[in-house]
Amino acid sequence: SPALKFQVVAQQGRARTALMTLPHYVVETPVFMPVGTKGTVKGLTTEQLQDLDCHIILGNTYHLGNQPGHELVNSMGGLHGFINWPRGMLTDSGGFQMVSLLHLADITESGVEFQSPVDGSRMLLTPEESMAIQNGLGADIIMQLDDVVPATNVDPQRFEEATYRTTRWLDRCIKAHSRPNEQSLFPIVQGGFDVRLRDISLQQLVERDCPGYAIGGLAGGEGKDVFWRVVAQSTAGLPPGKPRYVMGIGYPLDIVICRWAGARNRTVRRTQTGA
Amino acid sequence: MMEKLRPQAQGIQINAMQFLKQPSAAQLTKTGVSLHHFIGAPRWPMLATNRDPTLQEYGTAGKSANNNGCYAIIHSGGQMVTPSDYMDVIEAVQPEIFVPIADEVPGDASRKRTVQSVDRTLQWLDACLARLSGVRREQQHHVRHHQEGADGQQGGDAAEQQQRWRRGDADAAAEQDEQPAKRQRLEQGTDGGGGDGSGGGGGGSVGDKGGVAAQAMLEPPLVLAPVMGSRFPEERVRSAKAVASKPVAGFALCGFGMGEDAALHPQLLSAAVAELPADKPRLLLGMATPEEALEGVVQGADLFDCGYPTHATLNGYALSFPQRMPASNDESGEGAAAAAAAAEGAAAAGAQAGADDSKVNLWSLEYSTDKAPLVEGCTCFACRNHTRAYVHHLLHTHEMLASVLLEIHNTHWWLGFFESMREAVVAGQLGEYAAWFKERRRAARELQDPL
Ligand SMILES: [Zn+2]
Ligand SMILES: [Zn+2]
Repeated sequence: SPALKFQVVAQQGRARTALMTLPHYVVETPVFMPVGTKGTVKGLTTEQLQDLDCHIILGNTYHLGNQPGHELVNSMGGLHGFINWPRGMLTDSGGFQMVSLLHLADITESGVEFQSPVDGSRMLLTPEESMAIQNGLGADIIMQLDDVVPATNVDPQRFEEATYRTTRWLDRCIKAHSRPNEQSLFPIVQGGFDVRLRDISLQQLVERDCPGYAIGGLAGGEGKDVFWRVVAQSTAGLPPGKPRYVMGIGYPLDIVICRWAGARNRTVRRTQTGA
Repeated sequence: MMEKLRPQAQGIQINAMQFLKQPSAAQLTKTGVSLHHFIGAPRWPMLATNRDPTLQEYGTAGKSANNNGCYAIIHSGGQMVTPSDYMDVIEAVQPEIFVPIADEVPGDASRKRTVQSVDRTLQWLDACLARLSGVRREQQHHVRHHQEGADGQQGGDAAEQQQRWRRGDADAAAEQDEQPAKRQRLEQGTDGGGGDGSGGGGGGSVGDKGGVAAQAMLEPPLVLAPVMGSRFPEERVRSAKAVASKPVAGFALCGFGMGEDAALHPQLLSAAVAELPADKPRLLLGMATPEEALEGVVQGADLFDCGYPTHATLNGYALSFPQRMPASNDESGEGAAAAAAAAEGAAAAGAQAGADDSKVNLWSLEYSTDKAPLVEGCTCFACRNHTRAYVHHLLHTHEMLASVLLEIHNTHWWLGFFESMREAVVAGQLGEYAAWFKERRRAARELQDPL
């Protein structure tokens, strides 16, 4: 992929250390990505982050899309220019935060429907809109809009639907992505805790031959044994020469286990959901 | 981040009252290190005062004070503080310089209450000095003890410690020579080189030498004797005369910024300063604006505290008031006219709703897409690295980094103001500078709202 090169430096079991070359920086993995939700990592200057040897940070599409808006950020030289951060950056799709932060979010085939926190009107985040915002923000790695099902959901039908819909939305994202030479789009593996569904999701997404992959649908309150099993299954099913991002893990133990299981990028997402 | 403010920034001021509780003097002492190490600033000389210039606390000044102590508002509420409590804090903090506890009164206090404040503060000064000479005697004892037993078996920290102790001993022996030696140490900004980076290590080695040593101060700090007297020139004179001959390093002109009329400052300051020895520094506390600070310099004050930059930061302002007199402005008669013209020009050029000739209001929607630094031409860290648009966004999203960046700029600006005043004194142009500055600000104020 023109916007991402991944060279494994050393390997032990499924775990590996690698150099991930992005347009803005060569990131050493496995790596923790501090979250800069609204364009700042709490209280730190971007120079301090560099002093801390931070290689890549996160931005949240939902927050930045609301304020100051992706058009403004784009006119200020993208998120990198706006906050003066010269290194790696990743933005999420915005969907997860809508589902978790907003009460009245509804998922339909067209996208995530939600009530505007500004004026209460009904709004719709489609895969195409998520791409437009993330293309405007200009991060090195961008995420597909996926169909997120809370881990607490007990309806197997819903997980089945979400698995296939996530693939359909990925195809719409790939089609809408306007800067593939500068930004790498990562799909998100879904399938709940069902081995069969995870396999279907893995197979469909790997077929699309994307620059890297994320493992989603975790860290929603499921048991540790389930969590480890799903991570191990997913990393085993992903291509060995591409980066893997376990989304939303929060505890040091999880990180150690994921690394052992062969995961790469990790983020501690602020638990805004209370879930 | 404070390192970003060097070389103009040379020291830190702290309010001793904030260490009465959480952390208390006893808790701080238990850590085995001075406040410098506790807050991670071992290379910064520290000044401890009885007031915090960023707080508007004069409303309660003098409340419930009696001969035993005064009332202080701290983060956990209000409480009575005795000179002994205060000295416990000073011994734990171990500042290089401190202002003893003073009986502060509001700017409209009666003459009777002001007389009482002057007398009471003198008694408390004597109590603080007596306590310090007790510390000094204890130190001499320990220095002898260590010199006898510890030679030849000390690591780097211990050797450095020893040196500091010896210096303390010399201080006690020759009180007259004490001040120049200490002043030099302050100018160097460290305690004798190399060892400061070791952080807690230095404190640890003191602890190894025995419990008492860890609790006693390494050397007594320098004292700046408070000059009180509120708005009464004759009380200012009486207070200054009484402290002029005390064995102290310098003087603190207290009781300003307490709601008094700033127009009285020149008279009050010159009355007090006239009684003080010329070769000792004068700290001026409580000046609220650039004009007041400038007046303080004109009247002979040397050290200042600073609430002004912090207030600007809290309001989302980046300071931009003029600092440097244009070099061409040497025709004394035309100075004022030129300044007025310059102010008009600046106001017209920056005819933006969010800015006037003294500050830029980063909350203003006008800056949402402004790629300029906070203040054009400023060399501070914030201005070199970030835009108005970014700081505007950080303010509107209530992000902590907004205050961090604004405080860097505002402190830098305020330090630059003092730098230009120093240059004006060196060039023998303080009079012209003061006239230019006041006129420039006055003209700007007529055009715009002042800060
Ligand atoms: Zn640490
Ligand atoms: Zn600046």
